[in-house]
This record gives sequence, C-alpha cells and structure tokens, in this order.
Amino acid sequence: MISLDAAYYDGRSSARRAVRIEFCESGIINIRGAGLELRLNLAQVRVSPRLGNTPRYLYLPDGARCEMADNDVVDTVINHLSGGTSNRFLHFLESHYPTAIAALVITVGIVYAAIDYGIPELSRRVASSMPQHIETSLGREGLRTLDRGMFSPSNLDEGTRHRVRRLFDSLKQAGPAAVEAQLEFRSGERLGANAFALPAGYVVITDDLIELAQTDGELLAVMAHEIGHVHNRHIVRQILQNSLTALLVAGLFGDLTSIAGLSATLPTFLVQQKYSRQFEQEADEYAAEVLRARNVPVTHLVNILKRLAMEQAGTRGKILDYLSSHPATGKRIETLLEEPSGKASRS
Amino acid sequence: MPTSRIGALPELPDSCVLSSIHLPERGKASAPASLDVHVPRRLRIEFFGTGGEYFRIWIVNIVLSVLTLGIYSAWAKVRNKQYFYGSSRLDGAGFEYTANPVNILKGRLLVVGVLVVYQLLATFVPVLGSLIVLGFVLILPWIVVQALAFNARYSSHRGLRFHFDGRYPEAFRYYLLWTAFAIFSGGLAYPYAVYLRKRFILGKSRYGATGFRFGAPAGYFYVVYIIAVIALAGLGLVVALIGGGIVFLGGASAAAEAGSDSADPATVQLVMMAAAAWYLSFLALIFAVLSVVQTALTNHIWRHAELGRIRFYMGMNPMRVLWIQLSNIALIVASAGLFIPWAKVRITRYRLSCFRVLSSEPLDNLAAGERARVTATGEEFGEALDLDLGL
Repeated sequence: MISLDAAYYDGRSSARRAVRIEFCESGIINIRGAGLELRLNLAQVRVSPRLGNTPRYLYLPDGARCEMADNDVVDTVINHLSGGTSNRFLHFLESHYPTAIAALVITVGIVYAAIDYGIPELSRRVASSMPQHIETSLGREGLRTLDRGMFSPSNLDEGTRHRVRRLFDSLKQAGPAAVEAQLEFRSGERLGANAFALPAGYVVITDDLIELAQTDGELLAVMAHEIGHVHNRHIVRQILQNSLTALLVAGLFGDLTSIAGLSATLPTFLVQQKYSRQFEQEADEYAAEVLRARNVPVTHLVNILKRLAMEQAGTRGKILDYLSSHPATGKRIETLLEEPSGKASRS
Repeated sequence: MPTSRIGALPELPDSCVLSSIHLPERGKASAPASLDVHVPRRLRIEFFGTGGEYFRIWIVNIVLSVLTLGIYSAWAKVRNKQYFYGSSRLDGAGFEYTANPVNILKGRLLVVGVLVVYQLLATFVPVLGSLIVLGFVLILPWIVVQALAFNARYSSHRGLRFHFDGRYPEAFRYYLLWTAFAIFSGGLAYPYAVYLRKRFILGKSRYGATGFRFGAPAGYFYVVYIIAVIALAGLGLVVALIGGGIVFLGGASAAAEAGSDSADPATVQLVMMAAAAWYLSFLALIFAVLSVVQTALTNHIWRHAELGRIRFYMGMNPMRVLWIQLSNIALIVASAGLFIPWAKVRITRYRLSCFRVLSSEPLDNLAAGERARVTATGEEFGEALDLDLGL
C-alpha cells in the first residue's frame, strides 16, 4: 500500500480539505480527511498526465478531484497498479536534456530540409500541374489590381511599341522551349524603371525602363529575364512557397505570437526573401542563356542592371543581402560574367 | 493543514510598485496562519516554472508537431498552456488547463478550411471575396466570444471552472460599433472603446458562480492615452530630428559623390543602414509606448476588480515590463528562437510576482453553481460548438 497527502476539492465549492489517499494492492483507493471517507475502485478514477513538476490531479467520478504535489509517488502508484502508460514516455522525452537536444536537431533538420527542398519542390509540382485557366485568372486579377493602384496607361508611341513587341515576340521562341507570354506596356509613375512578370505569362514593362535602355540588346536582356520568370513559373511558385513558409513558421511558433510578433514574422520574411533571390538568379541565368544563343553579348544585361541599380540609388551592401529580394547587383554581374561555357552546354 | 503551507512567502520584490493601500504583507506577520477576518491577507501567485524545464517540454512538443504535420500541435498547445497553469500556485492550490486537444484541432482545421475557401473564392470570384471579408468582420465578435469562453471554461482552480458569459450582441457593440465610432471621432472615443472592451472581458467572467466586478473608472483610460499621445509625439519628434538629420546629411554627401560618377558603395551602404536603424527606432518607440499603456491599464483594471469579497492588486512597473520585453525580443532574435522558452517564463514570472489576491477570509467560500447557470446564460450554443478559435 502506498499513501500520500493531497488536497480534496468537491467540484461544488472552492473549499479545500486535506486528505490522505491510500492506494491498495487490490486496486482499492481510500481517501480520508476531515468529515470525508471515500472508498473507490481504480477503474473509477483518472490521473492527469505528468507534465514537468506541475501538480497532478486524481479525478473522481462525481466531479471531485484531489490535487497531489508529490509527482514521484504518483508515478510509482500508477506504474505499480496499472502498468506503464504512453504518458510516462512523453514525460521521459520532455524531461531529459539529451532527448530535448535530439528534438532540437531533428526540428532544425526538418525545417532546413523543408525550406531548402520540400517547400520549393512541392510548389514546383503544384505549379506545373495547375490548370491553365486558374493561372490565367490569377494573372488577369493580378494585373487588374496593379492597374488600379500602381500603373497608368503607357504614353509610348505606336512605333516604339511595335519595335519592343517584335523584340519580345522573338524571345518567346528563343529559349529551350517556347514560352506563352504577353507583353503589356504601362507607365509606372512612382515605380520608375521596372519590369514585372505575372502568372500566366503577363509581362509588364514600364515606359521609364524602355527609355532607360540604350540599345535593343539591353531591352532584349531585360525582357529575357522576365520571360525567364514566366518559363520557370516563378510567380505561381513564389505565391505557393510564401504561403507554405508562413504556414510552417506559424506551426512552429504558433502559440507564441503574443510574446513578440517579430519572432514569427522575421524568419518568415527572411525565408521568403531567400526564395525571391533564388528566382532572380534563375531568371538571370535563363536570360544569359538566351542572349548567348542569339549571339547578343551578356554585357547588355550587365549594363542595364548597372543602370537600374544607379537609378534605384544603391548598390546594396553585403549585410543587406539577407534582407533583399534581389541578389546584390554586383553579385549578379559577377555571376553573369563568369558564367562558364559548361552551363550553356546543358541546353 | 494545507493552509499552514503558505505560512512563509517571499516578500514583494523591489521591482514591483508597492501598493498605496497599506495592507500587511502576508508572511511578515509573526503569526503566519492567523485567521483574523478583519485583516485581509495578501496572497501572491507563486510561479515555479523554470526556463530549462520548459525548454525541454517546448522543443519536444515542437518536434512532435512537425513530425505529425501539425496535427499534434493541438496537444502541444494544451501541454504548453498546462505547464504555465500548473506551475502557478495561489494559496497552495494550482491552476488547471483542461481543454480537450481534439476540440482545439477541430477549431484549427475549421479556421484553415475557411482560409483556404476564402483564398480560392477571392481569387476566382473577386466579388464574393469582398463579401466574405464583410462576413468575416461580422463573425469577428463571435470568434472573440468563442475564444474567451473556451479559454475560461477550461481553466480551473480549486476544482472550480472559470466562465465567460459575454454574448455576440455585446461583442458586436464593443468590437465593431465602438471601433467604428472611435475611428469616426478621430480617436477621441478610442480610450472609451478600450474601456468598454476591457469591462466586457473581465465583467462577464466568473469563477464558479461568482462574477468578477469591473470597477475601474473610465477617466484613467483617457489619462493614460493622452499621456501616451504626448509622449509619442514628443519622443517621435526627437527621433525624427536626430535620425532624419543623420540620414539626410549622409544621403546628401552620398548623392554628391554619386554626381561625380564615383559613388562609394561603402557610404551608400552606411546611409542605407542608418535609414533602416531610423525606421526601426520608430517601430521600437511605438512598441514601447503601447507596452507602457498596456501595463498601466492592466495595473489599473486589477486594482479596481472584485470577485465576491475578494479584491486584487497588480503592481507591475511599466519600465521593467518594457525592459523584459525588449531584451526578450533581442535575445530571441540573437538565439534564432532558442530563447523563447526562457523569455516566456521570464515575463510570466515577473507579471505574477506583481499580482496579489486580497482576501479577509479563506478562499474556501466560493460556490460552483455552474449547472444552474449554464442553461440560464445560453452557453449551450458554445458547448455544442465546443471549438477553440483562439488562434
């Protein structure tokens, strides 16, 4: 027989009674205190699972409960009378540093694998099996939203449009596979010189960018970069990857958003920016490949990137790389110029 | 006897603001278990949790959640919460969080399902998307009520449950109408809207059959918010002038260099970092003011709250809370999140160390009475939809 001290609460008032609980070998439980004498069967009661060193509860059939402070005695009783349970295993995991460190290593490993491989791969598959009409409506809706907020109609004359459109159309067949894409002219106003790719092959180019380009080679280079985004379905993949990342981080720190919103949003942001930089680099590679295949010097892409960077007032520094959605221009230029012939042979 | 266990309690830490009401600190008295009914006892909630112990529980629950693709996270929520409840003791009695994880899982699945449906509809039928947003705004008060009721119903102490009796119409008034009114009045009604919401949350809560009474005057809310606005404007101006000056001068010199066609990347980088730091200091300033407001209001509310004949006292030092929060954020970021368990324990320990329950009689006399009240308050709807929506 094992016995321990506990506090008895009847569930009808907050009154406390000090009791002594006796667990007998036969499975009979005796609870005795001032004006209280209970005789119960082990099958009638339930004991709350162990959690750290928090008190345990013995739930009695009539809604009453006993609060027991001595966890080790409670565990001995449970072990002795009803055999080990899964709760003991959980407590074992939660109470030892080696298992905690193992949990930490597994978590970091899974999260790293998910960010580096799982989420991108899953998004790639979903994006490539996405029905065309869904992507089309995504792209059309996206363009409509941008038109409402950021763009106004283009001020280019018909001749320029025709010339740029011819260059653009020539690019659609230039890559490893034909690309369905559609060029849209807009005036960017606050956005300045810029080009965007949207789902379903919408490519928007601002008047300022066309003005900024000094040669047709530079225009080709920029548009090839955007077609690289279209070819690789980057936009849909990015939407999917960003949502999955937010879900993953929310799952990890879900209960802790109150302690500091930053602790959940900062990692999400950093991972999303990492994906964005990867996509930019892939688009750069695609553009370089297309340009090389057409014997247009890659320096055109380098030049327009440089001029864009100047216009956006800043070569980005190394520290800010982690915060940036695009690779630092210097790095992009380096990568483009050192592109070995081995890459080209892949196509 | 159980009551004698709380005979010697640690004294109120220096970091807490001491009460202006002069009451004998329990534990200082020479006769510890004196049951003199005329002198209220000051009971503190002792917190026994430690960062190291919680770290092990926390990380094991995270790995189990990850390995089960998030399904275990409902069980993890219960264990995390129960750790903090169980580690807190008032007058020798612990707190219990008794929610059924299955209900939490159902609640989470419902929320995820609604979000997915919303995303799909908003993408393909934009008109419906806006209608759903309107619908969401309308059910927001219901979600608030559900979350508060769920949390209260599964919190218990000394064998009695807490309850929340707030209903949708009131929540609709306080969370939607008054928020709209606060906006249209240019913020003038905002402190009163906050007052109404806090009164709703505490005033509609009860422990067993005994309801909490919210007695805090609304005027204090105005005092706090007016001081906050003045502080925000004043400090904001200082930050704007100092930071703006640095960024502007740096930017000008960088621009001058850029004009001469030899922009020094190092200078540009420095200017950009200064601009980022400037922006961050604005965020920190807003965070700091909001934190101080929150602490001041929490102190105020508890000092005027009653539960039957029991009164409360909260003496958090706003600057101390702010320091703990800011250093917690810094340590969490620096440790890539590993400090989270210690941070949670640290802020909880401080908050509870400043809380007092003032009672001139033992805490034994409160009744459950829930069976009679459940149908009376119409909680059956909540019971039928026993879901945790408190994401």
